[in-house]
Amino acid sequence: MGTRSSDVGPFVREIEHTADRGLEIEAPTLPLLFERAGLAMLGLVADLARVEPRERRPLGVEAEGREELLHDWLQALLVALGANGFLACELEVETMNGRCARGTMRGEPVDPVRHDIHTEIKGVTYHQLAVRQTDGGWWARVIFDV
Amino acid sequence: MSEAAAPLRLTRVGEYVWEIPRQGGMRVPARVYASEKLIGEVADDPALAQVANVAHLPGIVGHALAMPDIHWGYGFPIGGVAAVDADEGVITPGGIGFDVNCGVRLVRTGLDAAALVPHLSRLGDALFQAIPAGVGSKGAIPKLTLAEQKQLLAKGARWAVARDFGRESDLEATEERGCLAAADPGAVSETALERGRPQLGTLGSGNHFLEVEEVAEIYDVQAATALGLHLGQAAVMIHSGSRGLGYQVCDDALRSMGRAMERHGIRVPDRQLACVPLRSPEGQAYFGAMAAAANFAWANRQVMTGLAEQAFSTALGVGPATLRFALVYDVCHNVAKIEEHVVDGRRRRLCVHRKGATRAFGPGHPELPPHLRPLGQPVIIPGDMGRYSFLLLGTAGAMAETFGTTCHGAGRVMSRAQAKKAGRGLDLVGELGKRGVTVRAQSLAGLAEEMPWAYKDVADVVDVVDRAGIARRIARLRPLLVVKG
Repeated sequence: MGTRSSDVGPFVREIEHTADRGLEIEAPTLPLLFERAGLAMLGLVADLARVEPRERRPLGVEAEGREELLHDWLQALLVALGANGFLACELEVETMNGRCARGTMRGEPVDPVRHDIHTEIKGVTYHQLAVRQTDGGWWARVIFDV
Repeated sequence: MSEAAAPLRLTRVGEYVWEIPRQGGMRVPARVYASEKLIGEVADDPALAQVANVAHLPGIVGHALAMPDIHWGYGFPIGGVAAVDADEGVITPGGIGFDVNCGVRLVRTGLDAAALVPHLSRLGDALFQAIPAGVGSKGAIPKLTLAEQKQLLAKGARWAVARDFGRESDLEATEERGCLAAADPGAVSETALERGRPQLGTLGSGNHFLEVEEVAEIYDVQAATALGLHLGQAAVMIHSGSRGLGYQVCDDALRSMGRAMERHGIRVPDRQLACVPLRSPEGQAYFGAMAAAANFAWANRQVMTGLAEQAFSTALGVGPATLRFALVYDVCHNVAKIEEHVVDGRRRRLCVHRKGATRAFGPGHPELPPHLRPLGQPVIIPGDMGRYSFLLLGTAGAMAETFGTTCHGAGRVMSRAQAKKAGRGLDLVGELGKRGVTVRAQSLAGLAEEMPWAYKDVADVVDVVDRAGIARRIARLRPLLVVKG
């Protein structure tokens, strides 16, 4: 089933950053944290309520360490958007361990007329990037260059 | 904060210069150019700790510097400068940013600004249609083949001029003549090439813009005249960069350098400052890819100049002889370049990183073309879209103190979320209209983030660099029409 964009809001807080945009995300599990982080990031780019899950595409990354893995997962979503014009509105992590995250994204090609575009994200920074286990599950902080 | 190991000491060492003395792992002291007012605005901001972090870079010489538009970035602060020994030192993508060769150009026209005012709505529509903006937009010119794209990456602005975007004389008025010779298209990843291929001739979003402006005030008539500017003249300012290609070049390098740092025995206080020796294979690969991305940005701004000229022609029904588009200058404010500077009386070859800072070579510098050599390098400082922008000239003072560098813009005082909150319920387009500014924007939410109140008054920033002698004010320009992604 995965996570839909409408499920993300209560678990995401925007960080006050002077020049860029930052998010803190919470989830009971690591796969859910990745799903929420991805949709929260894309929610900065566009109003995902207007994006329909018409196509299903695979998404997978490998990296050393949880922070790197989250960075690469988010970056893969930006590449799908920047290189292929694909805007995801649902994410599902199907396989995850310390070194890889694999799953699927559902969404559709960007349509500047029908979609409400807010801004472009240039990159996922490593500045203050953190993924931590908490009493209630998992927490992450990410700052984006916009 | 992860940036600061200990509370920072800040000492005033000149009327407009503040120093953070060496402490912890800092290899050199850090210096910030600011007035009391501007330093007060960043006193509690992580930006000061970030300047101190920059001072940790292996091979850094002189001081880690920050310009008066300093604000919190990632890795370097925005407004940060580091000169690193080209043979012994490192290169870091964190000192350049994701948007390699983000920069600004100022184009003068043969048009009278007052006569343009009745046509601004039509002109805005034509420019908004001619120059695609941000997410999901396709370039105004057909998607390049891989071979064409690699030629572009090697040639920069010249590639665009050869295809009739702008004119040959524009190259003389572009930093590095619009091409870094060190570009290595082979070092640019497939992903970066893919991200950039459909984006040539696109503006981007965020703080990128195209503005039609009026020369509203002149501080040095002789210099302005030499640059072809007079009061009441219409001009075009374009702020954009290397688009997805540059973003991906930065990301690729951060990932590979993060792994390579351990091998080179380098430790830095922020992962976003990942760096490797410039002369190492990883350093050379990044330098070649970064230079190729810089060339993409110059070609991009050159293409948009040509598209803007066509849009003016369509909207106003006049030809090139009336429009008389001519580039005053094009600067990059996110880049690293090899330059020679005198440090402690000795001429040294340095890799100068400027992130949100502008080269400002003084009069007589051999890098400047003959028509600019007596004047110094033009420096273009965009402000916010409701007030004004400035044209400055580089100075001998900048050569002596800041590796030929000055500020790059206003600098934000409000987060994007705060700016949006402050603009809630306001008719933003109407508010700008009251100030005499016509707006065409893809996103009203994006527009709110860029409203005038989100920025410092750029006049305060320019006042500091002028008084500190690291640039001098020549003209002020007022926006009439703003096109934003």
